[in-house]
Amino acid sequence: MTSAYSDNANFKTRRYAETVLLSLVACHECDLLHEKLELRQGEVARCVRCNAFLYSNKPNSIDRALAVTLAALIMFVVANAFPFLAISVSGNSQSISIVSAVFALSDNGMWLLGLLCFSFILFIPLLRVVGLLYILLPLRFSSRLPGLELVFRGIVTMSPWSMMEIYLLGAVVALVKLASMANIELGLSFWAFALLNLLSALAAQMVDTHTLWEFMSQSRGGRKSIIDGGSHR
Amino acid sequence: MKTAAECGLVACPACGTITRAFLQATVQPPRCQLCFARLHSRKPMSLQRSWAWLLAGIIAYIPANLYPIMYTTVFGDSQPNTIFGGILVLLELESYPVALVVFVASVVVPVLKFLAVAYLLISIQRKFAHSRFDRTRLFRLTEFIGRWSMIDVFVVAILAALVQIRSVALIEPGLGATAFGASVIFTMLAALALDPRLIWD
Ligand SMILES: [Zn+2]
Ligand SMILES: [Zn+2]
Repeated sequence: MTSAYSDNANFKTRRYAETVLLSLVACHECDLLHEKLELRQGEVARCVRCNAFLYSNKPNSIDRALAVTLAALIMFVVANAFPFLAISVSGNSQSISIVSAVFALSDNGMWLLGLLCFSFILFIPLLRVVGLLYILLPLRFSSRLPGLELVFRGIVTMSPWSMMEIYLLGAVVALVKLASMANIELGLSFWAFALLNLLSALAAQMVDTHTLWEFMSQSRGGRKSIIDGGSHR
Repeated sequence: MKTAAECGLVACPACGTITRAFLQATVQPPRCQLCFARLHSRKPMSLQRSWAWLLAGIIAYIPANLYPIMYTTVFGDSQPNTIFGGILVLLELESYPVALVVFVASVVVPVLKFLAVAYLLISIQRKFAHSRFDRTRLFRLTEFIGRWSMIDVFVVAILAALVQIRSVALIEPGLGATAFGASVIFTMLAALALDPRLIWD
């Protein structure tokens, strides 16, 4: 696989080293070096040792990802503008929006947990959608906005903390718990939120991390020219 | 076949671009030329940080089970609900699938996750050479599944928001929910701090 690159002494000059480095990829889960191969469209490369995802070939995926992300942003607005769930017990009814659950915590003195839940179900998902648009929209027209790399690194770091899908399942569990005691109604928001979950999962499918880094480096003339002309910040 | 570290190379933790390792030569960690992320061959202080978060997660799990996660008031009669009590109620209602979901999310997953992270940490420190592939899969599973335990906190929050019908029924969140949330977050941080590449080193 990579025996030709194994000896440190092979790197005679800086320039040679950098040309070689661009043809290599290291597994992010076991650090094994692989030589980058040309993939056919839709193919996926995996680590030979631990089977982790390495890279894929998804050309023209920006258009679709952009469409899906824009739809997700619209759904985000809809999901927060209408009632989420409603119950009625013997003539009394109560309806809540998505953010009501956060206030239920903070109003009972659990403001720290409320703040965290607000981040997990609303703030971080919104940041991710807006951040993706900030990256994808200019890339669609082969252009770029400042701080692109920083924004994307932020999105990747934040992604475990985006918990919309868990919140959705939580709503279902809460409803089942109440089903025997009250009449339950799913609001427009509930369906918009479910759709938002589907759309953001689709967007993640269409442009995986590796594909997006590839597009972003191409917007600066490709990895090679960045490194040849680039200065270490 | 060699790893990047064995060849004196470092893969950028963010964008994957491979750079020669100048790590020991400089005081400031060098940055990736492509995305400006800080470069390091392995996550710094991985094991220490992971152990610390894991212990915090286990400690927080104790009050999470002792304190009520919510209080239910029906016609003026207030009752505390613990995690385990909630599962028993679901069983009485014969909602077996939901009872199973809650049981798995709030009892099985947290406990198995503590054990899994502890086992991974010990296996790295003792330099186990066997079943590296299976341990990597265990790591992926822990990383993937841990966040789902937050479902309990969300259920409590939604119930507390929804069941606010004065004179009939009232649900308020309890201290146990904060402790449970803290336990889930700490354990997630433990998994995030753990560098899976150490399994193979
Ligand atoms: Zn691997
Ligand atoms: Zn980088």
